[in-house]
Amino acid sequence: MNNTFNINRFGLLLKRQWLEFGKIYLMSLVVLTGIIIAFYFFNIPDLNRSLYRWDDHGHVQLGFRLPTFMAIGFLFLTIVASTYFNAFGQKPKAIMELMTPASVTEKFICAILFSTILSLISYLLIFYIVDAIFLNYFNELWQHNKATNYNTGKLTAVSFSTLFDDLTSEREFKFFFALPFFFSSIFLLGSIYFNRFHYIKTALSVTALFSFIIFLTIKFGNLMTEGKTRVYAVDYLEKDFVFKIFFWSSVALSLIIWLITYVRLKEKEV
Amino acid sequence: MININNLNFGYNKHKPLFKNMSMRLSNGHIYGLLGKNGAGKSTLLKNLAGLVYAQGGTLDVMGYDPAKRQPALLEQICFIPEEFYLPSVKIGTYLKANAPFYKNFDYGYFNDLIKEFDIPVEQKLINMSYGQKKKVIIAFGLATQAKLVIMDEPTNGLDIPSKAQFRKIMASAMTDERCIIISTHQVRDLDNLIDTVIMLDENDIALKATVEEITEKLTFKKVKEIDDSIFYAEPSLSGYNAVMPNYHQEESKLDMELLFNAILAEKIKFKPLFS
Repeated sequence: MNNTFNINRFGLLLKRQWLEFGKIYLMSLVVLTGIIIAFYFFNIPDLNRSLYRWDDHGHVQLGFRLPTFMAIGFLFLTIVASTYFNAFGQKPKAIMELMTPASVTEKFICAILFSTILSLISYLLIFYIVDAIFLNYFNELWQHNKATNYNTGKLTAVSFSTLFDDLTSEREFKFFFALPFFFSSIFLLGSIYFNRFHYIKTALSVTALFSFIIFLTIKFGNLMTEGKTRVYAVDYLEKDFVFKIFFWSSVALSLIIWLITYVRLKEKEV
Repeated sequence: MININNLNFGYNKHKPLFKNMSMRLSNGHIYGLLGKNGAGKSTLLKNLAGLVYAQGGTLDVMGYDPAKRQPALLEQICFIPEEFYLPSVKIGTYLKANAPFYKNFDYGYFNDLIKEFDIPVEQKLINMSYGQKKKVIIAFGLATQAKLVIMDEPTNGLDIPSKAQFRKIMASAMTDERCIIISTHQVRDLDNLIDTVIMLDENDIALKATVEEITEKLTFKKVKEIDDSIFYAEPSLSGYNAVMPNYHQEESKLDMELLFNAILAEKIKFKPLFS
């Protein structure tokens, strides 16, 4: 018997988790859908408007969508991640979880699948579907309207940009694609690290840590640049380099935090 | 089946629970684990199940180190904790989710036990009484056909008929391949069930002996007066309940409660007999 990873046992573990948490998870998806729909309802653009925000592809942008997408996405992903291991904070539940005949590796991969991959896919899918339905509705309402596109100066038929347009309109945006994994990994670690109030405690710890890092960075920057004159400006190539560093740092940090979570799970005592 | 060598463990560095504890437990026995509150009964069981890690020494359970929590060992352990959790699902769903992890799971036996315990199968587990939940978890644990059965206060919360049922079921569940360890405060619940007594006191094992060995070396009887031959006595309505060395090979029934109090009070007197 392979005591590290066995595909049949892993399948049983997925099924067990789904039978126990599936109903709650599906309910949370219904709530999520409701919240996204509510945001769209409260932000339906005014039909009599003459000024619109145009993107580079000749579509009208929905200004509320990107902040909504990011804020709800952040909350959904982090809440799901911070509740995944909450059973380990309660002795009776933790005993049942630890005594389930599956390896730590299988339990950990299952946690990543449910808390990060599945929740990210379901979030993207739900947001995309709600967005597509509303866009269809908006485009039908506006199908005979034309307005001046300030980018081209021409009278253009009003059609709305998609979520995909929003996500790709800024060239730097792709460097942020690892952030959902990063935040999810932090809250997953918090869910096994703390025994109670996982979300609040993780959020407080992260805020304190980030504030400290920002404070140190500013102090260090001041120390390095105080009383000095700028003789050279960063060009675009270097800006790209900084963004690449940011991307790979978030990837590396996510992996490190997952590794710490694995070790915490392995060493969990009841 | 279980080898404990120089086990050291404590929740607090300055207050160890076990100091160099060594013991060997074999299959084909039902061990009764006794001890005062805080003596470490539950902790010893958790060490065996790999729920806490030994701070020193080695633990060998069926050839595995329980701290590694390997599935091959976990599927051979049935652990019934004192406090447990059952999800908000019906028995059928619980079985579907958990039973396939145990390749020897006996569905027929589980259904028989559920019937015998008179458990309402259509009710959600979370809505059952504590006693009913305990019966479900005991039935599930025994149906896994695990070779090591560990029970922490299994009779807590069971009503009087259920305690008798429990004793009957446990006696029938015993096989030559199985090792059953039951920790309890309610020693009378285990009368006629356990065959070996393990008593914990002061960071170590105060006594480990079979019932046969105990009644061979000690006799338990009612006496009118106390004399020097008596190791320990407790007043009763018609005199004293006493424990004394069995010099004349008398047959007597083990009074576990009396033995427990006697060992705690007069450990030194008993030591030469069971060393």
